[in-house]
Amino acid sequence: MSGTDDLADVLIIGAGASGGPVALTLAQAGMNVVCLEQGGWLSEDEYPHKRADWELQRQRNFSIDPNERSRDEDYPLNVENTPITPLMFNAVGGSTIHWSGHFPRFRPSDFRVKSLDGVGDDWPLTYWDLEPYYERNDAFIGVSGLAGDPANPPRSPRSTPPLGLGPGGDIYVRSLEKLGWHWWPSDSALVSEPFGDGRPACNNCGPCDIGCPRGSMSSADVTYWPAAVARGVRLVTHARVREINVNRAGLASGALYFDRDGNIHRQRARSVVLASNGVGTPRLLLNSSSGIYPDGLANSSGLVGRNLMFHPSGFVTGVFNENLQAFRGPLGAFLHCQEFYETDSGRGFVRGFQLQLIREVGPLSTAVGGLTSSVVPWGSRHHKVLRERFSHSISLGVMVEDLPEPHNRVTLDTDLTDSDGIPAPKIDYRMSENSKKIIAFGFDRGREVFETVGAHTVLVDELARKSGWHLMGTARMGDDAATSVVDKWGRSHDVPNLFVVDGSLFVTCASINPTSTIQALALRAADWIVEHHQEIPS
Amino acid sequence: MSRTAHESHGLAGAQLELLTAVQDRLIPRHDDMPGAGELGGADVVSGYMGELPELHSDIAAALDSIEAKSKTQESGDADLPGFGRLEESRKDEILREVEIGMPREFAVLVTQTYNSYYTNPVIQEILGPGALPPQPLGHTMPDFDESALDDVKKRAKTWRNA
Repeated sequence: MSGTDDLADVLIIGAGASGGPVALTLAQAGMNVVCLEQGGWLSEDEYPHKRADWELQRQRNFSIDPNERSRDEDYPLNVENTPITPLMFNAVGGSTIHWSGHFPRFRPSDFRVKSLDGVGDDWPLTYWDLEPYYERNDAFIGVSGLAGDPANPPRSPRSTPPLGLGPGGDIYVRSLEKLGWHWWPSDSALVSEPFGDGRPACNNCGPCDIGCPRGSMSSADVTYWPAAVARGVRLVTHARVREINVNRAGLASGALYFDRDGNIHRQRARSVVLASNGVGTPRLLLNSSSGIYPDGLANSSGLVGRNLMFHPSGFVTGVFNENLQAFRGPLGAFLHCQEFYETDSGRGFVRGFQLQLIREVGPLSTAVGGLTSSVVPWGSRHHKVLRERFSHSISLGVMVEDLPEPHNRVTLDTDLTDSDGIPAPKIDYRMSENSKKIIAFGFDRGREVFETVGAHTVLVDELARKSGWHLMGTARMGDDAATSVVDKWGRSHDVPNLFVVDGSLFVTCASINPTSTIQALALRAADWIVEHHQEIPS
Repeated sequence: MSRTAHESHGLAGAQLELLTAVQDRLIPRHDDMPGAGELGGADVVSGYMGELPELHSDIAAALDSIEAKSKTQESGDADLPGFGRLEESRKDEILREVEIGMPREFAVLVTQTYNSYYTNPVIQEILGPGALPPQPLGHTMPDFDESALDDVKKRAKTWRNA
């Protein structure tokens, strides 16, 4: 093992959406920051968008599923006991490399679920505590959209105007207006005009889910990380952390990590920040058990890995006679409907869902099933069905609010390991009856959207297996050390110089995409560290 | 000289011919669209099998089953010509039998055939802009028209303060 004399003020583990805001904030305050990231930087040429096999890469090197993708930097997941597969990307930028950029904020009620609706738990902070960080984050990364949505609290003018709707969007608007339901152009982490340090406007190429080679998507690798590195953060890529070390006092003292050649190194630090997502963070905490912490680090509550929440999601696709050409424009982040967001006791379930309106995938993805796993038949009908669907379809996602349940959890697999021999995560998850009721209701509404505007065929996939984009709840925050892992700043109750800043923090998960909230929480935690770092023991 | 992955796990000779014939039934020629086999899809899928050895057993098993059924259906004589020389309707019957009997393996064969077909620049040109590589040109879109929101803006606020 090789060590280093470099004692960082703060070691961040993970260079994704949450690590970036922390790294930049701490570096701006003059702190010595090191980040260990198991992936590397992706260059423009690595993206497949200019190649004939661009769609094939959805199944291969740019798959959203790490078990399918199997890049060297990925780790395997045991998903035998879950109907939903966790999705992620391991690189500088993390899972923002392959996201849709849909960038809504939680609503105030999302932080008071127990008080308002009698389920889940309340957060130890409010929307209004977080609001300045939402604002700061949006302004820094570049968010397109339009302020004034009556379904959400006011906010400042967006960085760039809303993305265009195009024919695929127009048909949604026709339907939602006819139904009298809410709609609004999404806040999108995707700039519609040139922004920041030379980032060009989106040119509507479509497949954001395989990344954005232009830098128009406000992914962490083109926003926070270049700025953080320019401020002196030492970002070590292809560095896979095996465990967090603790000293005799039980405080975090750094981490052991493997480089890409399998050599092990030690990085020392006064404080450690975990930014490794809702599966990677509990995996690392559980892998960091020791004589002092036999059940895993920061786990005196027994809650590390528990209360795993996804956003169970399914898709509905409407097929139309008109040639919509809905492949024009960003795939996902342009329009949303929050008509069914808040609890309505008449519906037979608590909480709600968002309809996220989606454009269209290309012909290969259409042929192998599209968003609803509806494979185009082989044989004499193949061309007819493909032509009916391709360029004639649009889809919507029914994204459901999951509730925290302790039996839904991340543990360590006793047999499966990554290529460095580190135990892999095992996922145990089952969808609640409440979530099942929401998704069934949501599907009926999805069909209604398409039937209202004359879809001749409606295809459905009521629970998409590959819908675990959002990984939340596995190191939840709270005021009580018996019922939470970290406090309202993300600081471990057990290890006072250890912080969590990713989706693991979530107490509840709303029914919308979480990255905006993750980054706001990360900024808030970083400000606290800057203000208090002299008092943090090490 | 060490063998490449392609040589180790791809197809050769009669297997390639069989796959070509099968692909021409999975995606047959129609109007301006060539068949998947005639477009050279078998070589492409063979290349995939070289890159991803896990594909090999499924595709090879499906092809073996197709060929075995072809010979059996023809006359019961294993020496007679196989799948490629059957009537097209008979070919489709055999493929449906294999699809039912070996659903996983057959699905892999179909998926990889689709992959070879729709990544072919000839097909992408025929299908047009949504099929072609999306960069560097992207697509044109009209700007957002805020007047579309006039009715939505009249709605009362629906978020709950807390």
